[in-house]
Amino acid sequence: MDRVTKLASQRAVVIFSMSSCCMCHTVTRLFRELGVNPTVVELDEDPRGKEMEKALARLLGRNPAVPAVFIGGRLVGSTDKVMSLHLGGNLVPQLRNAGALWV
Amino acid sequence: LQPAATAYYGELEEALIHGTCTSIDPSMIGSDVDTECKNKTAFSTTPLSFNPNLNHLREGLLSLPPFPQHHRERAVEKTFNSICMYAAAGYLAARPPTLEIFPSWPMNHLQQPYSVSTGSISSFTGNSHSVGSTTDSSSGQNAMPQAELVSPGSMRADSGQQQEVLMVTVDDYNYEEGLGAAATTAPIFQQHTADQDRRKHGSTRKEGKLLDAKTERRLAQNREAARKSRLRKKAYVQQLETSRIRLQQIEQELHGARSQGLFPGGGSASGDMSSGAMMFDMEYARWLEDDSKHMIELQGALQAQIMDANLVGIVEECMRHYDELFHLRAMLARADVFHLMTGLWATAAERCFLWMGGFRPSEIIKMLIPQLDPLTEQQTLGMCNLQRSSEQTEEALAQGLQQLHQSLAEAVGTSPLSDGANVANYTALMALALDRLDTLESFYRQRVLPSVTFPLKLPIMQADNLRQQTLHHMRRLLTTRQAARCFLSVGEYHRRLRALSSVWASRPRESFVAAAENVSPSGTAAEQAVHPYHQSQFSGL
Repeated sequence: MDRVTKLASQRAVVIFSMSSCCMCHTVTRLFRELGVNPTVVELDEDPRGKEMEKALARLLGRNPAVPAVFIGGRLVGSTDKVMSLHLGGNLVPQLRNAGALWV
Repeated sequence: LQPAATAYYGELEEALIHGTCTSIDPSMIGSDVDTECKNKTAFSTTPLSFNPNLNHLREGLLSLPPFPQHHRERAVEKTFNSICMYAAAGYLAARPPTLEIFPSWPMNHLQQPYSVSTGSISSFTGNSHSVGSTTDSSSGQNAMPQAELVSPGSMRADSGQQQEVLMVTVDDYNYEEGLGAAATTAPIFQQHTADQDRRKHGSTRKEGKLLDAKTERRLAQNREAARKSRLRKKAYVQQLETSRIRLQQIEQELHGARSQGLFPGGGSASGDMSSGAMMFDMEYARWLEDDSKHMIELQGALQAQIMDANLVGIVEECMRHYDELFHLRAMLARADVFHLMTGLWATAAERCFLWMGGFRPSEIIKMLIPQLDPLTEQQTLGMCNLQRSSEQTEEALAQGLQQLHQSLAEAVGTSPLSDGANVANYTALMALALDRLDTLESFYRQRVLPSVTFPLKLPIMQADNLRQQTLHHMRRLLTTRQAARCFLSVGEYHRRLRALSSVWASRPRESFVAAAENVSPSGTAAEQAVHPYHQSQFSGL
C-alpha cells in the first residue's frame, strides 16, 4: 500500500495497469489523446505487483483492481469514473489543476 | 438469426402443432356430433355423388332438420356416416398439398369386410359397417385407425334410406388421445349399430350370410372406431384451417409492423441461438414496441405544445426506458457477448452502422445539434464538448478492443504447446489433435478462449456505459422540450434504419450479374438514405 501511495504521488497522472488488461490500455490511450503523458505501472511486471494489486482492490472496493487512476496523488477511480468525469467536462480541469496539462 | 420474430414464430409453430394434434376440443367434437345427430333422414333420398365442394356440403348439412336421437334406423345412422365422411372428404379434398394423407379415389367393389389398406375402396350397397379399423376402437391408442375409401356405388331406391358411403383412408396419421370425447358418442352409435344389425330385414350382407355375434361385435367395433376417427379427422381439419387463417393474419400484421420499422426483421435460424440471445431478442422486441408508443406520445405532446411540467414526465419515462435497454444489453453481454457485438439482434441496415454493438454516441450528437435550434451559447458549447469527449472516449475504447483482438489472434494462432525445443513432440500432438477436432476444440476452449472472450464484454459494456452516460449528460444540458426532440429524433433515426432494412429485404431480386453491374454508380442505398438525416428536419420538431 505504501508503495502504491509512493508511486502515485511521484507524477501528476499515474495509472496502475496490467499488460494483459485491455481496459487499462483504453484508459491510458484516453489520457494520451488528451495530451497527458501518464506514468503507467504494470503490476504484472513489478516484483511487488501482487501486493499492490491487493491494496488497490481494497482501495477501489472492487475487482479487477486495474486500471486504477491517480491524478495529483489522489485516487480518481477506474474506467467508469474516468469516463464519467470526462463526459461531464471535469477531467480536463482536474488535469490542469494537477499540472498534467498546460494547454 | 431471427430475433423475436423467429422465436415468436417458433413458438407459434409449436403451439399450432401441439394445438392441432393434442388439444382438439372435445366440446367441439361433441357439438359437431350433436349437430349432425340432429339431421334427419330426409337427406337420405339424395344421391351422394362425390362432390368435393365443401360449401355445397355445408349447405346441405345446414338445411337438414334436427335428428332425433332415438332414431335407430340403420339408414339414419348411415346418413350420419355419410355426412361425417363427406365433411371429412370435402375438407380434405379442398386442401391440396398439405394433407396428402388422402389418396385418390380408385373404384373397387368389395362386399366383404376387409382390413384396411390405403387406396382401397369398397362400395357400400346398403351397408353401414365401417370396416375401417382393425385396431381396437378404444381411445387408448395413438396410432391412427384407418378408414377405407369407398366409391359411390349404386343406391338402393327401395329403402330410400340406404346410402352409399364414402370413406376416406388415412395412413400414418397420428391423433392424440385427448379425443376421447369421441368415445362419449360411441355408445349411441354402437346402439344404433347393434339394433340395426339385429333388424336385418333380410338385406344382403356379406354374401347373404348371417353373421355370428362375435363377428358382429367385431364389426361394430370397427365401425365405431372408424366413426370416431372420422370425427377426429374432421375436428382436426377444422382446427388446422382456423390456425392457418390466424397465422396468415399474424403474418400480415407482422409484415405491416416491420415495414414501418417498428420491429427488427432478419436474422438467422433460431437453432443457433443461445438462450441468452433468444431471451434478449424477445425482450428487445417488446422494448421496441414500447419505444414506438413513447415516440407517438412524444410527438403528440410536442405538437399539442403541452406544458413543460407534463412533458417532463414523458421525457423522464423515455430516459428510464433507455436505461432499461442498457440493462438488458448488460445482461446479454454477460450471457452472449458475440450476439451483442455482431448485432444479430438488429436489422441489416442497423448492423451496417453498428459501432461496438450499438450506436456511436458522437454521431448521434452530431446529428442532433442542428435539429435542436435554437440553442443557447452555453448549450452549444456543452453539446460540442460532449461530442468531443465522446469521440475521444470512443477512440480509446476502440483501441482497447483492438488490443484484445490482437491477443485473441495471437492466442488462437499460436499453439500453447509450441515449445521451440520440442518440435517433434509438438508436431505429433498437433497431428493427434487435428485428427480429432473435438479434442482440439475442447483444448482451446479450456485454455485459450475463456481467457480472451471473458474480457471481450468489458469494452462492449464500457461502450454501453458511454452511450448511457452521453444520453444522461445530454438530458442535463437541454431543456425538457429539447430533450423530447432528442428522444424523438433518435427513435425516428433507428426506426428508419429498420424500415430501410425491411424494404431492402423485400426488394425485387435481380440476377447477381445485373445487380453487380448496378452497384458502382449509386453506392450503397443505405448510405444515401441515411445522409439526408443529418440535414433533414424531422416532423414534429
